[in-house]
Amino acid sequence: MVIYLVAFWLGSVYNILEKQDNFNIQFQRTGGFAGIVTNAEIDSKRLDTEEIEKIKLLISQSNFFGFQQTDSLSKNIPDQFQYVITIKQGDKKKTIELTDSTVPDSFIPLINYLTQKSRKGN
Amino acid sequence: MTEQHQHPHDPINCIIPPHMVDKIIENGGKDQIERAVKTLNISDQIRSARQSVPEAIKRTQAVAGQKNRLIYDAQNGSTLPGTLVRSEGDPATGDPAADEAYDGAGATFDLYYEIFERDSIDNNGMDLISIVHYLQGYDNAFWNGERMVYGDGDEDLPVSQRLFNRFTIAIDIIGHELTHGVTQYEAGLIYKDQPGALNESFSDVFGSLVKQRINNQTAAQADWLIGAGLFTSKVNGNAIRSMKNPGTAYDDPLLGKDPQPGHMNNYVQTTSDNGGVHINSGIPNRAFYGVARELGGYAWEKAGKIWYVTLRDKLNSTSDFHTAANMTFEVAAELYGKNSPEQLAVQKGWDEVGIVLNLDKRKGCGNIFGSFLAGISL
Ligand SMILES: [Zn+2]
Repeated sequence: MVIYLVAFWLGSVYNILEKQDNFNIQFQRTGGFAGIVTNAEIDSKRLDTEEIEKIKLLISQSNFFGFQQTDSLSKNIPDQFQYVITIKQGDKKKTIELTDSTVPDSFIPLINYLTQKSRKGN
Repeated sequence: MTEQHQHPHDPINCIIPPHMVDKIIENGGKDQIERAVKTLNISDQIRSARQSVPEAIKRTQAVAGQKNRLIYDAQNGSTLPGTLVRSEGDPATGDPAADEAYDGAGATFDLYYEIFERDSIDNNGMDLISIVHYLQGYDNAFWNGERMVYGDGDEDLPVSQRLFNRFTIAIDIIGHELTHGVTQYEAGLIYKDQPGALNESFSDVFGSLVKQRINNQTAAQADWLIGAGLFTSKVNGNAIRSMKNPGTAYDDPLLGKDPQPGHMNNYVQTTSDNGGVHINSGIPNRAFYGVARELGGYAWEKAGKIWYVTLRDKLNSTSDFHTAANMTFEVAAELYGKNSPEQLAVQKGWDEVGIVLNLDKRKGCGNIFGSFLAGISL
């Protein structure tokens, strides 16, 4: 009985940890001189462990879930890109809209990664 | 930025000499005085909005007609401006991006100065600052309110997967970006919906004219493509946009099809890209092409002049396609005469894209001004 409970408890913890690891990213880039729209969807369920760890690092380095969206998107700047990023990770879900003139440096590696994925039509 | 909505035929679109407005205030009736005061106030607001644009670094003693180009290398980082790699008069660096930015800014300055008598972006000898090698894998160029910024394309991908070359490779892109600066200092068209698409179109028009002038091409000889050479051979397409045949520049499995309409019937209603500013610009682009085709010869000489004077003197931040059309018609009459071949060509160019001029209501600034003054004894 005790062994069963311990096993159950371990199983639950494992499930919770696994759920916290799961993520889904929706990315859209619009505007730019060419005005060509690009999209990418990244889901941890379809990735290997190494890729998952890489993206988790990009998300945490950007401080995505701690980022305060400002009202001003400086949309009057001609030909800049606009980015919409939605990330679901564990129980958290958040959408951030950025433009080239409002992208913090901490977001550049994440946006570079997502842009590459969108280009390959992934 | 003032965003109050003005009637498309508001007299503010026309230049009313301040001393005449003063005269109205002095001698006019109550209604006329109210309108004149409003006109003065709106003019002041527009002027102050223009002055509030970020002040670029200016040479303290700029000499009229002398360009001062400064090219910086961001070294694939985000810190602007980066390292100064070429100043005015310096020899070529050997870096194609830096040298193309230098030459392209020079050709654009020359078009504005030699043809339209405009002294740089602000008409006051402003420095032409370009930044190349911005970020990694940055397949774009933009005008940031003070400077031109160019990426290297998708150079971060393996060669076999690349779709874009560096963004300085096409001189019309350089003319396009620099013209965003001119528009900022003149009409100040907001970057949204029809004013935004007009903003885009003026950049394509003068970008294309820079290219046509460098190549010594007439309207009939020009390809009217924007960004030719930007796509790699992997892309099924000639360019980013076609002013002559909007919607035909590319059709590619990865990039999709050129979405530009060439007629008001196909105007795209969207919230994406600030209301489709890079999509619906196809309509005024094609109107300009039509005018240039009708007039023949070098497009910068007449069609370009009409468009430039319209941008400089007749439009404001919220002008739409119809206002732009009516104003080019008015400018054509001012420059070449009423019912001149030039004015009729303007009418035909807009008609071909489904924009009918208000010929009855609009008989030029003179008439609006005339009715404005009616009943006042000066
Ligand atoms: Zn543009």
